[in-house]
Amino acid sequence: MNIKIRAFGRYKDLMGKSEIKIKLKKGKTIWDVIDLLTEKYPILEKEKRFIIVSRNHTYASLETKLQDGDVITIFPPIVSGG
Amino acid sequence: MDIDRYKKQILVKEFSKNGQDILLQTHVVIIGAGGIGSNSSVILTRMGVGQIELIDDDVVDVTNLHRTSIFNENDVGKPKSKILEKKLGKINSDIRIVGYKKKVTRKNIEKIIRNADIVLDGTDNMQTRFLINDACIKNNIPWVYAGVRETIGMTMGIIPNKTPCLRCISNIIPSRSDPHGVAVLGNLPIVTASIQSIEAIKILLGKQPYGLIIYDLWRQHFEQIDLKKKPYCICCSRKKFEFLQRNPGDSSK
Repeated sequence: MNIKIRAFGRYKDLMGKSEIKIKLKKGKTIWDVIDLLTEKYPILEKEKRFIIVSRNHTYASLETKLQDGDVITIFPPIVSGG
Repeated sequence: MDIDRYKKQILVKEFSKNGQDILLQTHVVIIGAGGIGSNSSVILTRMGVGQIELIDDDVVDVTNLHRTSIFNENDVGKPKSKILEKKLGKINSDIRIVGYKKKVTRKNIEKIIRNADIVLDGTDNMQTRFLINDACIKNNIPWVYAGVRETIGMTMGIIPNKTPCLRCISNIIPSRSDPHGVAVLGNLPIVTASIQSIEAIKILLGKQPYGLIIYDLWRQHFEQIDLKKKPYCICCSRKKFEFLQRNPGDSSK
């Protein structure tokens, strides 16, 4: 499957570009994408469980199965300050 | 009442005289009067919300001053809710503004929001937000989440039985963080309060809120995520109000 990963805000700085394209085997989930990103950018390890993800611009849980051509956007965790 | 003071916003076709009439009849409860809550209260006072109740148990701290538009150095050490009641009353004397210096708990929240048409989140921790979520879903009252950290702001309008709730997008119960330790850029709560206020006004006017709105003010990056109700959401689907029953990880009485 061809998957496009878009990054929001500081994740864009982290990846050095606003989007990257990856190839994944069928049946993979958003969790697998997050794991791949964490391997490449270990700084994500601490917050990876909390990252907000959209699939094709709609909120998606980390267990969501991916489809060929999906656009995944990663956002920082819910913010709690006031 | 001098309706002329609202003339410029009545000219906005999305808002109009009808919007103003609705706003003047509206009762808003703002929980928390820090960076977001104080700025939202200023905006809604100026725009002509008929009744505003502000709930906060804290006093103005010198570390609040960089991100609010209404507190000043003379207010440090004084109760935020009472200072706002006094100052907002001078901005708009036609509306009713009451500040309560009290802590919101699972035992008093339903009474606090009982007469509200909408509740605005001005808190600084997720436990209280989940408590607001439980109470508003249970009592069928819309509310608007708003949070900030560093350069990032988020808002989400929630209409019970229509839109997803906060638990639909966040099921992880976080530990209580120290609000004094949270980094926040000074103008971020002002932008966030503006977005929160407009989402609240749209809901009051019968419009749909815009899902989860996320922005990075430093990088001028704004996005909106469409949301879907989570099947079997513990709160809005199964109607299990964990935070009203027992505040997980917290000792609120």
